[in-house]
Amino acid sequence: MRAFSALHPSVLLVYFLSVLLLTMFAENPVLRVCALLGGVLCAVLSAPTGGKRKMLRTTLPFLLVVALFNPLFVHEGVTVLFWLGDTPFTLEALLYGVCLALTLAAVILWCGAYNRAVPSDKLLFLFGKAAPRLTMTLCMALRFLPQLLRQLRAADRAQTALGMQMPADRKGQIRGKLRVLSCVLSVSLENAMETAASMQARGHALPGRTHFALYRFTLRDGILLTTVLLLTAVVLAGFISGEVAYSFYPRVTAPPVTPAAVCAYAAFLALSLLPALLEAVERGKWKFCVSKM
Amino acid sequence: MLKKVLGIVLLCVCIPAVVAGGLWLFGEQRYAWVTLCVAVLACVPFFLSFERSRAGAQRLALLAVMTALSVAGRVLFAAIPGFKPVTALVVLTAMYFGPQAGFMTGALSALLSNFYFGQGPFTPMQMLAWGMVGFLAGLFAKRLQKSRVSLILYGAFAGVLFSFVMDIWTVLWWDGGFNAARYAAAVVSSAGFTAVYAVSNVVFLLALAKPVGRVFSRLQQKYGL
Repeated sequence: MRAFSALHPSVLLVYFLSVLLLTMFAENPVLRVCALLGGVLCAVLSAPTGGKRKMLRTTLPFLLVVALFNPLFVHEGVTVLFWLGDTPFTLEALLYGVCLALTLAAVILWCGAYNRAVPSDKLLFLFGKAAPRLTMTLCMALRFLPQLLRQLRAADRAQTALGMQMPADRKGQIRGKLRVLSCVLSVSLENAMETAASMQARGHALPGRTHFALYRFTLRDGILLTTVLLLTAVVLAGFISGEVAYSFYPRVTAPPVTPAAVCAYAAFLALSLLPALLEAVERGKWKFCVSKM
Repeated sequence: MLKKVLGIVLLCVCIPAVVAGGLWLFGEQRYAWVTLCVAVLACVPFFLSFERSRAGAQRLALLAVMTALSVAGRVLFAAIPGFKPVTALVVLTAMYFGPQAGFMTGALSALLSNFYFGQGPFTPMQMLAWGMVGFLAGLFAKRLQKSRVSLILYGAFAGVLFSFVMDIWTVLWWDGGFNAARYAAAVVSSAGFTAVYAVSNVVFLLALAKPVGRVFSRLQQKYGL
């Protein structure tokens, strides 16, 4: 997913916000399936293999539970499949549950893609000017985090080696971990105060600072941003006109296939396949150039 | 001038438009949408007041360390589900450095730890819940510093509050509306977690109150925070 991740952070942020919000709040099953398709493609193209396997193992059971729990709790719908005691188990509620599980899967996949494409430094780049103090705090916290974890592990190992926290002794273990936490706290706070003094001495928060910007907004970014916004607008138009409105209750029906609805589906499909398309174009270029040489 | 006008336009036009537009567009999921908007918007004034407060480098560094430490605590205790020192650290920060510091530590811890544990639509809700826990602790700082009993009560209360708020979000998003029966089911099914949250908060607060309090008061004395 190099081609997609290399876009300007603002384009990425707008893209993920619109896909995630549309996925989370669309009720039409066709749109949900489109979102899932895009999410799966993103995961296949960019997630590490181990991550994929772990994700499948942890999320599949959860999704099954979601799909099956809905008909157990909700008894709306007119097509009764069978009776559990004296409560009906309806087809509509089952389909709603399955659809909900698909949406959840799509949201999880898209959030994963977001985490890979927009690491925290890009976010900080975007908001550094609007909220300098907040961004600086986040930046420093992000920098302290690995340092703290290293210190915590070192202190933890030292205490274990001294025999202060035996594996069999749960209470002693918790007490040992607490001791580790409070010593690391006092060391790192003192260090942070030194850092703050150093920042102050170098003119922190004085006016007229310049920015170290790594990303430049190019024509390509502009074109893609416009495309994303246009596609989102088409889908939203489908929402506004009520053309893609859909409800499982009281009776399941086929999703609407009016021209406007089909336009909205196509737009959303294009939107959710955008990263994969960009990637395909990039790979195509690569292949083409190689074969010409 | 332009900046001011833009700010006012954003406040008076864009935000209501976004909320109302969502209400109108996302028929079935409108409650989840409104809750998400409310959670995000409720955080904004706190962040703005932090930006305006002209906090010096020392305060930024302090908040950054406390945020990083609560995230690190979440990682350190990852083996025991639900048993995390985050709330205790947020409450302690609030007790010594005021409601604003409490809110910032809580909200930023939620945001930052989700960079590690995965962001999701629940992030704003978590930020608000932890932020509010910190803010309230800052308001009752005097009492919490003086009496152990109120510290214990507050720890338990914070655990229950956090769990209940997250359950509201779960029900709203799954059901597309607030369903009292489903909420009750969610509360019951997460009762174990609620209990673990409450107990872990109390344990961590009792265990950390003294050593951390000592570190904080020394810091205040040494650097005049």
